[in-house]
Amino acid sequence: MELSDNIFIFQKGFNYSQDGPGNRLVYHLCGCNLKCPWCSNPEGMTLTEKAEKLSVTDIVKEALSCRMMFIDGGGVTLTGGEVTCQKPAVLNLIKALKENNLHTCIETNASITDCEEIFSEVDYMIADFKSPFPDKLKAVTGADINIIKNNLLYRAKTGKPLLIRIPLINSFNASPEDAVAFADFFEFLQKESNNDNLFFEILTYHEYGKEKYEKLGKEYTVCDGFVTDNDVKALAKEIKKRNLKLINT
Amino acid sequence: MYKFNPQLTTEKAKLLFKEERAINHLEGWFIVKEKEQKADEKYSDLAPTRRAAEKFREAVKVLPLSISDNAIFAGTQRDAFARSYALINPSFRVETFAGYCDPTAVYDDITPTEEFTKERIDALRELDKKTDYVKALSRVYEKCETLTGEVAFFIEQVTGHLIPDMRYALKNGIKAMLNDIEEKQKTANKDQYENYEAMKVALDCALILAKRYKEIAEEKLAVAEGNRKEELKLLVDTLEKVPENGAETLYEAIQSFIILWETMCLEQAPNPFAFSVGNADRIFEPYRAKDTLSREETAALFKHFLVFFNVADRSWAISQNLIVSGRDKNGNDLTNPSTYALLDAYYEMNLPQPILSVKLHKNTPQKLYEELGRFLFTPGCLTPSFFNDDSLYQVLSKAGIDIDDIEDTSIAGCQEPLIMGKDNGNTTNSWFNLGKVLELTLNNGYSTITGEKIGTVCEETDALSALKNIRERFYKNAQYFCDEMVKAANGASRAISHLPVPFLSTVMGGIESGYDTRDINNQGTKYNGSGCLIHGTSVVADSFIAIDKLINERPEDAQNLLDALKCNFEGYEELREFLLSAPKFGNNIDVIDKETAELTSKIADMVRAQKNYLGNNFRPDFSTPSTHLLYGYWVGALPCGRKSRDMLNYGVDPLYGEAQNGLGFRTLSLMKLPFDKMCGGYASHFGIDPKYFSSNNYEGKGVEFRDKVMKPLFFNELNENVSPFYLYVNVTTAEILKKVLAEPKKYAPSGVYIMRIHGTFVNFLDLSPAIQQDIIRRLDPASTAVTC
Repeated sequence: MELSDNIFIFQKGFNYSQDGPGNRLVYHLCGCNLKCPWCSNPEGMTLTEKAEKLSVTDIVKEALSCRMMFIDGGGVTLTGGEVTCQKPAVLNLIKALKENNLHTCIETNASITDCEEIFSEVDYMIADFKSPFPDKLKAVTGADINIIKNNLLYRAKTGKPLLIRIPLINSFNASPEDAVAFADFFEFLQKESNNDNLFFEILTYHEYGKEKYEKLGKEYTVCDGFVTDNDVKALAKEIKKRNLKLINT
Repeated sequence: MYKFNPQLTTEKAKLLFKEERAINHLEGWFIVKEKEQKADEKYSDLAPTRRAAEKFREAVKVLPLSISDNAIFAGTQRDAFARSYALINPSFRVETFAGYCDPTAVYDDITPTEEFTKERIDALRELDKKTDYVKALSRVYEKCETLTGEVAFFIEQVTGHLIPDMRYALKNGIKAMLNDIEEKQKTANKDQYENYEAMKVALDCALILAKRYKEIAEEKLAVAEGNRKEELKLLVDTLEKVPENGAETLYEAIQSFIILWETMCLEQAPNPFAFSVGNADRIFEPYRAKDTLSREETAALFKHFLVFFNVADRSWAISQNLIVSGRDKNGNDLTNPSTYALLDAYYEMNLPQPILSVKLHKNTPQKLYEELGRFLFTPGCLTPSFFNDDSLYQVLSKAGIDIDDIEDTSIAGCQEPLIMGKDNGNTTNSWFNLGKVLELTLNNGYSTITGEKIGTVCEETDALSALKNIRERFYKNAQYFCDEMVKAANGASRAISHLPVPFLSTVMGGIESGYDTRDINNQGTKYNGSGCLIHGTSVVADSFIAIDKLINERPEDAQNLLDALKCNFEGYEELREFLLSAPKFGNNIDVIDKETAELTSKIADMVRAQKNYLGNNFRPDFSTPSTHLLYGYWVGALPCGRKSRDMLNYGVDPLYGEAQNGLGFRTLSLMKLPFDKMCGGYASHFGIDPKYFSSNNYEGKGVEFRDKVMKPLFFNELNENVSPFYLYVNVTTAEILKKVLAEPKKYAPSGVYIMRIHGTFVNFLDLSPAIQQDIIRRLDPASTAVTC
């Protein structure tokens, strides 16, 4: 069996609508190229011994046996960690799932290059856009904004559904300047792609992952990341002002 | 008419509940029984139903009555109950539980006082022992003692556990019922005629109670002032009118209901557990609508109605179910303003009784889910049981219920679906322990717990053959124990027929049929059956698959397995690990899920084929109301790796700890079970961590709950089988409950922290420690995890 036939995961389970349309079987893939301090799944940042190795065939088989759960247009979602860290196998898996008429979705940070085939193949794509300011983004998460922008534009131009999510975090990306810069880029994306299936969603900061850091012996460095209703409203206002599709999943 | 101020009325309801919780002794039932006993000879010449009614009337005339200053309605069911129910008794121990088979054990539940002396209590106990009922029942128990001793099965006489249909009585009054009876008597045969006479006397008991309460209210009125004077005036006027005449306002309807309910419970004192209200929102909505009461005003009256169901310090009248919402036969939603007012009353009062159930269907309005969110996500708040009304239509019509009657399906006790006023299900008549049957099958009829010979109908053979043929041998024994169980169960039903229930019969179709609900020769109620609660499906199926694995991979260990079971795996830890590694139900693994479905189906058919005392079929009910714990205590180690005396699986659920892959996979396994065959009901529980629901308000969380939990399970358009129709949940974590136990004053300042233990909810703090720990263990978070 080739390496590209194996997927390494640290968690799996079902969720409704928050990881793609309908009810979905979600696989959390190991490994991430970024280091976002608020990450709610820090256990998935690296590929550890605890990871479970599943072949593409195993996952397809399992997904088929779960078909009954894929109500309301559901299917399989691959998330992370960062799915594109395992891109050859992920591409194989997406193709295999689609061959079996299963709906596919990925959640990605879109910060890795050479993923075009995945981004054009997958039925539904959810991507984070964490900051419109290159330096801040690089310093806090390690991501290169140009790669992300290129990837998002690539996907948007395919005409397939793309949901861009902004994890809104106090003192990182929740200022009025951020709101305008976010919305300006989104407007550009919409105009450039003319994609009717381009959606945006604001996620407010939470600390679901905080306990996990303690268990892993890692330091949780975000202090006071919670945003106010006004912060959310300000960004929502900028997005809506530009006639973009803001949704809540 | 006097208008109740919602806020003041609510305050009074809370004070009334507080008063009730302060009562730590119950003697009313004793007075009723004593009076009936004394009157026995006086009426000895009468037919049994008539004699029962006359004796009851004597008791009702002298039973001490009162009306609290905080009450807006008159009536209590306190005098029908003793402080008996084991699971909320602090001194309860799993080790000593012996069921409720000794009808004279209730005399141990009254503390002697100056008035109720030990001699007086003992004297009545001795007289009771000589009654036909107790003698007949004792004979039944003696006969099956060997088989019930370690609970291969258990049987009981069923009291309560029915759902009267009060609607006719509320609307038309007792006067109309008496007229109906007179009319029926014109064409009645001799037996029916006597039964009708008995029903007339029994109905008179309700009128006597109303009259006596009215007199008390009048006395209070004479010295009352201000608002209270107005309230008492209304109470007097109302008791003058109902239940004799039809009710017109919501207040009158509730008052009438309370008197009828009190009479019904007193007739079966002591301890008619699990009488249920039925579709309460539909019962009361016509009166509310006529009154044009606001939601707040309606809720205020319902708060007093709910307090009525709570008896004394631990709400001893248990498992009284009240159901709301649902659909008609065409799929139209039947939610109405009274539904929401009842929910408001429930939420604000948060009482241990009556337990709330909700019928959902695919067209249930989103608003109902939104309104249910607060129950699910407020810590320590009661949560409703959920029923899938779409499935119930399929299950019950297959079981022979007329389609027009199914709209009136409601829940008796925990989760048994019955038709309001038309269905005498004898729901808890028999209890079948498949875990014990497997243990006996593997050990040639001997208990591995005590070494006692209990029984088997399989011939002795070598270990490997016994294991290879385990299914055949198990089902053969199951049939044997099932047959014996049914004989005993029918004996118990015949024994209880010595205690006719003419009042209950008037709200269970008796006026139509002319026969008593408990009649064993003529069917008094439209539908009749007997229940069988089946225990241990998944541990037995898991065991079959573990045995297969052993035979395939290490057949040389066949004898070792049997030896290991005898000594509870001591010294066989490696073998146990091997057995535990076999596939387990609840993880969407086809081989074991199919085995569990097949076992469930076969046992359901076996039970369904059995006939009760009237020749009607038994009803398979896969629920284990804490008996998974109590009966598990009598089951030795099993091949699935479960250790001796550990609990059995709960209801149709996987054994705790065996489902490791989260909610979706567990749901998929569940959906493979033959729910269409579970016409007696079943139980299933999800312990869900609140962290999986991210909405920032209760309404949003309620909708999330619909989408993540209920929709895939109940209303799954991709499921071609009959969908599951029951679920109860506890939305909490073990950590939260441990904190509540450690610091009850901090986490439950009111002293009430409601949790569900099975079909019923209870005050978590009232429970015996064994049951508290059971709840914590069965939250089983790995089995219900949602990814996030």
